[in-house]
Amino acid sequence: MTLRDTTESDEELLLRFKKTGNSDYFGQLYNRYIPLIYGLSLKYLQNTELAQDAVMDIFEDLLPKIANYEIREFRTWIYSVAKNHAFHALNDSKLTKTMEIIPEIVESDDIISLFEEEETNEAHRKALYGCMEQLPDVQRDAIRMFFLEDMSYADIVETTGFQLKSIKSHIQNGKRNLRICLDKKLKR
Amino acid sequence: MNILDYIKGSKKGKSAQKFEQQLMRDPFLAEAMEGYEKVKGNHSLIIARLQKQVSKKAKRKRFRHPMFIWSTITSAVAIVAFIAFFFLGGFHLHFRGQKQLGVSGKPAPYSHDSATTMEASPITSANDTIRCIDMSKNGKEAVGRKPIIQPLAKDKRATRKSSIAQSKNYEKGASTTAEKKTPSQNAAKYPNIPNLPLMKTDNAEPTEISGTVTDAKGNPLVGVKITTGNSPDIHTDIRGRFTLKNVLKGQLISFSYIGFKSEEIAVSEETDQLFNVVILNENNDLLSQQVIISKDKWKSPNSKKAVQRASPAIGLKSYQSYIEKNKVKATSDGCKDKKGKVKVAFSTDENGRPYNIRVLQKLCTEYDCQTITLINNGPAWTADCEEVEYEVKY
Repeated sequence: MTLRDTTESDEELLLRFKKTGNSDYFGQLYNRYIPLIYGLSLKYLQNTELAQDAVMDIFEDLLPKIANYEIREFRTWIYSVAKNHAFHALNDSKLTKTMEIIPEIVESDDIISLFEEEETNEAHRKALYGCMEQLPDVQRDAIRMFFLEDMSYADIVETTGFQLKSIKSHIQNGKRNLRICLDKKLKR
Repeated sequence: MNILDYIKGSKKGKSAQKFEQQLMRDPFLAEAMEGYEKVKGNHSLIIARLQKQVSKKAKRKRFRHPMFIWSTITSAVAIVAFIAFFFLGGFHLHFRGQKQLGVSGKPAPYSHDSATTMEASPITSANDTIRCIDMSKNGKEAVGRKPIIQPLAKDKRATRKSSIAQSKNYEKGASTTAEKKTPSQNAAKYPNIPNLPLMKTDNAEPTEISGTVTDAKGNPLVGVKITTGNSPDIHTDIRGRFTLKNVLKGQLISFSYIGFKSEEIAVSEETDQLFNVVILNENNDLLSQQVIISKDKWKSPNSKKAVQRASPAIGLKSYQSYIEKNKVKATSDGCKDKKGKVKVAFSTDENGRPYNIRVLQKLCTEYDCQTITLINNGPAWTADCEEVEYEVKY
């Protein structure tokens, strides 16, 4: 993306648009999110033409209305707009697919931040390492490699020979078990 | 690293790991990734094209006071039409027609309200982790459900007062019904009014309301559209939260979301607290499809679903006795005398945990909900099953 807007925040761009009425600003803002909106539409609509239509339809739909909306955080808002648009489109075409709702991310957030260097709380650190010891081997290894050794999934696959699917699920389950263990330890 | 670089690259190394970490935290990014993984195409080219298109369209559309142009046009047309009518003598006919329209009067839906008084009693499952809120209905079929307003404040009396206050505003008959029929904690009234007129209230001060919209299990619903008569539409954010400003007491707020019945709720006199709105769907299947928490978000559901012979890990008999032990007789009006069976279907992950539990054959709300809860909290099944069907008799 070669846009000159990368230094301004989403909300600043939006404000500029509202103040000046110059839709060029909204165009810049929307363009930032096209990769995400397009990708999400691909997921639900399952082909590139429909996804492209969705991206343009959403833009044309929002352009006249958005100046009147009070949007606190553009990213989360456009996420739900895009998703809703996809759901409506699916409903119209009567495709009945089972959809999963991604579970609360807050849980993972905690665990991830515990692994980052900014975490200086000693009690938390100790508890975390203690809990890691209690994990089943495969989960502990996967968590260690991903979070402590900064290896990507592809790296881990290469090193361990496990399948991508299994590694992802070990990390997922490991995070969950760590969460449970930490809750017990820290909440007494 | 941006999303396209990740896809095109080797996915190795620290920057890949950072991106993967971001994927865990950002559902938007994660879903977009799923799209790119699923569907093939020259995505970078397509995206570049889309961006150019958007820039073009954005440059063209400058807001040059379109209102002014339109109002001139419409008033010109109106004047011409008016003159035409007058000269052709059609003016008199038109005038007569207007009188007839005026007679239709007060909105009739109010009379339905006595039938729509709702009660809710939360049922806690054995593990206390999932609550399925049951609604009983009078005078309508037992399948549909209606929203509940739960104030976050612990004073449950406020809810009762609010429901009574609302009923006083709308009709006299229903207030007695509301007072009698609120033995349980949460009660609210749902006037089925299609429009959003401003109701007459004592106090016309605009207030601010905030709240969260969740489904029956307490999961926040993202992107629920909230409409009021006098403000632009807003949507709930990623946590299901919303804030409405300039709301007048007695005003109607409408909540709509895909797969859920659109509902209007009136702002009562007690409404300057934080409200949790739970909206439930009218179609059980969709609820199960959309709202059950997925255990492993990386699993992509296959479109082919073969019905397999799956069995519970502890054995069918033990599983059945688990169900029998934990079954609870329904107490809600729509369900308490009902007998029959609820059939559900679900998939299992690699640990045998059920997910995507949906109801194939309904009985009534409370039993349907209970079945979902029992399966969800129950013992594991054979792992990695596409579709398992199970029936519970009540």
